[in-house]
Amino acid sequence: MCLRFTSSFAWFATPLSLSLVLVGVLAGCGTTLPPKELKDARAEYQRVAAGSASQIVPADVHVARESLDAADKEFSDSGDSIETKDKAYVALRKAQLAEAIAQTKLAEQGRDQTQRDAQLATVTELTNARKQLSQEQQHVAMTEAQLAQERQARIEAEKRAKEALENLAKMASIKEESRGMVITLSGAVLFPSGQSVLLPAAMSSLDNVVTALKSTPDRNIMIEGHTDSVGQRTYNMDLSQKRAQSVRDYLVGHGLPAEIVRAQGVGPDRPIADNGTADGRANNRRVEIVVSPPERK
Amino acid sequence: MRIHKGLSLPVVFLAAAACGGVPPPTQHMANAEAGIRAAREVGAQTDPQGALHLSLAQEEFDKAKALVSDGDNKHADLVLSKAEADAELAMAEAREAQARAQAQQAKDQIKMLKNARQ
Repeated sequence: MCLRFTSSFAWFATPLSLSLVLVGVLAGCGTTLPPKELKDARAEYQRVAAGSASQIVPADVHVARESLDAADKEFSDSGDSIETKDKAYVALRKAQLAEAIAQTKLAEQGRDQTQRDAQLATVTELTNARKQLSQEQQHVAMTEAQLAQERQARIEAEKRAKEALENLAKMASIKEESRGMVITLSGAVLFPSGQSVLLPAAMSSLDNVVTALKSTPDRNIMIEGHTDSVGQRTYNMDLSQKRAQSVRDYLVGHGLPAEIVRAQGVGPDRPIADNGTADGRANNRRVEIVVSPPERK
Repeated sequence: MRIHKGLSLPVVFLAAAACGGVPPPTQHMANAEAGIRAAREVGAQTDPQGALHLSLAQEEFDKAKALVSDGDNKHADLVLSKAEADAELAMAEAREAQARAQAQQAKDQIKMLKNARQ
């Protein structure tokens, strides 16, 4: 109780003690030294109020202020008493409470922001993945379109080859033999008599041969020149070789790969008809184009 | 010690009040007990700061009970205020620790996601 202190001071009539008494009376008759608990409470309140808690939880800071005011009032009423100390203790806790609540809210805001960032990142990633997927799908579609185009082109090439073969069949004989497919063209259709330069009319037949064989690049083509038995053998061998070569040159010049086309002069050695008749001799004067599978090495 | 006459009456009154004029703080005790229980339920004892203030609250509560059985209701009331304040703080500290842990968890997750993408 504050009366106790002033009366004990009154015993010492020194100027210092008198001024202390005066200060004591003016201060509301408590001792001028607040207890540690009150100093701690005031310091903590100052710290908390100066920090972010004032913006985040102003109501809780206000409650802490009121609690501190109550402790201060108790101190001015009853000085360094148990009541002052206990109220200061509570005021300290109220300030700490405000700080803890503020920190909690900050942490929650931080967590929410992080979660929003994560969501945004996920959405962005998803959008990018979708974009990429769409691009790849477009790419696939393009490739499929390309493939379809190529397939179509191949089908058309095969169709043209088939048509060419059918056309060829009108002007040549086409047979399947054990040595391969044999296209037999009459010498009279291809060459002037005794010559190895192609007739202009021969071109359309040979064009059909090129078209028909273009779509089968895996096969070997042997061009054989044949003559009838009339005249010297060496002459006939030479003529048939030159004629076979002329046909080869034309075919290779119009698109067949050189490495699969060969030319050979057979002369009179393999007749297909009786050389004794004019018709037979005419039939023997021919060029055979033999289309066979590649030789097994 | 000489006491001014004019002030003797209040002194007597105060003395009388300290000796049993104040009723036992049963409501205050119930509130304080509820506050301590609530702090426990939130898990205050798992956080160092929370555990500290929780045990302080319990000590103060027990001290208040002793004061009440001694008849010092006024002092008991004040001690109960301390117990309540400590229990409240313990609960807030438990919540703070949990919020911090969640914030850290969210950060760790986003880090993991970033690493997984690379």
